[in-house]
Amino acid sequence: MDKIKPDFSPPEYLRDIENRHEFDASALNFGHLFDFRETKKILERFCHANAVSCFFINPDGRPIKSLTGVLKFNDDFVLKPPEDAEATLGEKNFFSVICSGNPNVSYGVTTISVQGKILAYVAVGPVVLNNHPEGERFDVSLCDDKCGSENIPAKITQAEFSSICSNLSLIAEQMSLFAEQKMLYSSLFVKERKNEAVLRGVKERLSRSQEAARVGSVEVYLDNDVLWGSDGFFKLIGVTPDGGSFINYTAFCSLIIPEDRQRHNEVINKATASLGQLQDVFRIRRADNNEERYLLSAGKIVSGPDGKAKKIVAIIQDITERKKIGLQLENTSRLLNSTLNAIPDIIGIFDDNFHVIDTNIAGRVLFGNTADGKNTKRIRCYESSGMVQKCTNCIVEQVYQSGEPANLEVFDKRLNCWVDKRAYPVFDKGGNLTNVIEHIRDISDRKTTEEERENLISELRDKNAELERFNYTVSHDLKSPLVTITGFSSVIEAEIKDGNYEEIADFAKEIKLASQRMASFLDDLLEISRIGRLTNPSEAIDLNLMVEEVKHMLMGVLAEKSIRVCVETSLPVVMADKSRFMEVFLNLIDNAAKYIGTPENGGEIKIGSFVKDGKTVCYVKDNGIGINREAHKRIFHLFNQIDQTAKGSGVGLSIVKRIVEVHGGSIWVESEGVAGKGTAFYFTVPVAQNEGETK
Amino acid sequence: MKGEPVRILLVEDNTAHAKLVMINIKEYGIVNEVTHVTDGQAALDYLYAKGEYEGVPSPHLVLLDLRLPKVDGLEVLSTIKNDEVLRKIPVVVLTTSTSEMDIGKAYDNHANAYLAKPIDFEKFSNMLKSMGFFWLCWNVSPE
Repeated sequence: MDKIKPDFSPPEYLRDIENRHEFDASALNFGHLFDFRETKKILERFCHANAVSCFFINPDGRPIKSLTGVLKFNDDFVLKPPEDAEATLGEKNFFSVICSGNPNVSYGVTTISVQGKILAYVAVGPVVLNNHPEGERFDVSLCDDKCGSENIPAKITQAEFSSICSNLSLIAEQMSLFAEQKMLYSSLFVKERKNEAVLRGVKERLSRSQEAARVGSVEVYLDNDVLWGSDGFFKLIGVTPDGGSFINYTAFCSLIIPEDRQRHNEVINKATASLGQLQDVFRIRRADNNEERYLLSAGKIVSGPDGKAKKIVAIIQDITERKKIGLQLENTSRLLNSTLNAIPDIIGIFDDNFHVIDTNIAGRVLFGNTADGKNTKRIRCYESSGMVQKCTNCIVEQVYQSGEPANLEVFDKRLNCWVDKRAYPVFDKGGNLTNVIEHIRDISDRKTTEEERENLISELRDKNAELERFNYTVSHDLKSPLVTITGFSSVIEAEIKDGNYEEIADFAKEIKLASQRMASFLDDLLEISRIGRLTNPSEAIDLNLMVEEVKHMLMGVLAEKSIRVCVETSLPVVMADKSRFMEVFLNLIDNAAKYIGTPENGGEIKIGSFVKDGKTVCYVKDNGIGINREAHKRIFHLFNQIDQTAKGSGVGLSIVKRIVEVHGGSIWVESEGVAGKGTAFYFTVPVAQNEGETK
Repeated sequence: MKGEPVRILLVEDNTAHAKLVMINIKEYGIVNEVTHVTDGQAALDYLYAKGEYEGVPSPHLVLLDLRLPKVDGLEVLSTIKNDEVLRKIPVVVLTTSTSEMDIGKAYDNHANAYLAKPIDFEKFSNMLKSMGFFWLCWNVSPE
């Protein structure tokens, strides 16, 4: 930055003052005259050229000062103008007077007056008037005041003396004019000084207060580039103006740093054009130390009598410190905002009336657009999402009530996801709870994962339990026939040894039965392990046809017990593994037939379907012996045969359950365990999507 | 018990096993009467002398399988041990299961002993003999 050198040329403003003050002649006195050296010089030159003495005389007649330096006056010298002085010499403003001490000696006298008031006389002389006998020519002798001395006055003619007097009169007239002008200025300066003293006091006080406030006032004349500033103003810009409180405006503008200059000009131009107010913040480099400062200017344009913009009147304030704090705050705030916006979670800042004061970008989804950092509409958080009242369990409210952080996991209908809401109190210095910050995190993924995990755990638990049961059953059921086989083998051995053969056939039969049981048990195990592994591709199956097929397959059993099979409703078309799904019906119908008992009106099996909760449910009901309530769960377990005496190993229902589950369904049983009231098996089926068309 | 016929109640749904147990018990030469029932309900009927078992005397020992139709073995055990009169009858659980869960539950329900059937018949035989002598000869029951 180049340092500027302000131009302190003197002003032309003084012209303005003339029109503003009244002239007061009474304040004038003779002493003022002596300031006018030029005038005096003129008079001296005049005296010298004409070889006359010239002196000033007070209005009281006492001589004041000799202008030529040759005259000496007696103490009693008094010059009194005669009453007909003018007439004596016949010249305007000029008259001859006679010295009181010597009637023969005369002086040519003229007056210096301002507005009729005689300030002084200017005298020339002395002359001795000799009435010359030759008419007009009479001798005038110039002599000193001590007439009759050895000095012989020069002789000049009357005409010459008249000419001298006439010239002196002109000079006196000019002096009067000078005097008047001088008086005028003099009086003005006196006034001005008085005013100045008052003004200085005011100015000093103003200056002190301005300095304290780092404020300055300034006036800029638009037509002549003059800038008037207060002391405070110059202190702000680091300029010490010599001899006056002004610099020119251009010089001031050069202090403004280039980046801000154009905008400053625009502000001024705009205000000038509209004759309005102006406000601007701009930076300058101080003239004294080149330091960068922020200035706030606030003012207005003052128009002249012609209605055009005449000057700018403004107050300037140094707001550097404030601005620096402001900038710091701005930076902090920007950092905070960026941080908030970088967070993918929703963050809202509330006041105690549930207004969202601010939010981050993520929060706009919920709280509307308050990106400018100000929710000027003061919308309540719930209103912005179209709700009439607060959420139940509003945690912001909880924090306001308790002053403690709160949190809640909830399904947010507005966001349509699970969220983890946390609210924290914000306290001011006095410990008052002023705001609450709410943090909302989408935890759908976590929830889904949790759900999946729960499902997996529960599934695993089921599988484990099943595996345990399986192990238990396998160990028990495999061991059981072995105990029988080894037991009876030993018994047979002993019998043979003892020679008892009667029961051997019987014992051998037990061995055979146990072996058979074991064989069938192993078959079932294989079958069970196959389900879940072997899946044929799904195909559309009309269950009506399938049931007919199963009926045909079980014809023998059903006919043997004279069981009626009745399909009550039309059955759906399902998408399933055909051979597996057939096992479901095969097992259920076979099972029903097996435990039909001896109902009064003969055995009956009813098959049908209905829709419940959007799922298609099929059922197989019988009027057989029923199943005890406590056994309802157990029947689907592996090898859990209710009655050991009945045929079968107890895998049937667990196979059915597996097949239904493999097809995404579930199965349950309803039975009161009362003979004749029978059992009903219900299971959901995977309905083919375009069932309506296929049917 | 002196002079009184010794009675055993055998609760076992596997008839082959029941047969093997009875063959062994016969060899004790001390038991006069073995009653075999195949389900829990029948066992309870017998113990309470109800239905077809009306008037039957209490057994001196109950051999109880755990997995039974109708009423489960553990339930039978629990019923006996919760009955002030019946609880004095020693109940020996006799089963193929060596599952800890079964053992635990049996003792929770105050089973007097828990015996797992060995596959080896000789061991099975010895076990039953020892058991018989212990409970029926050496053990002193309350009058």
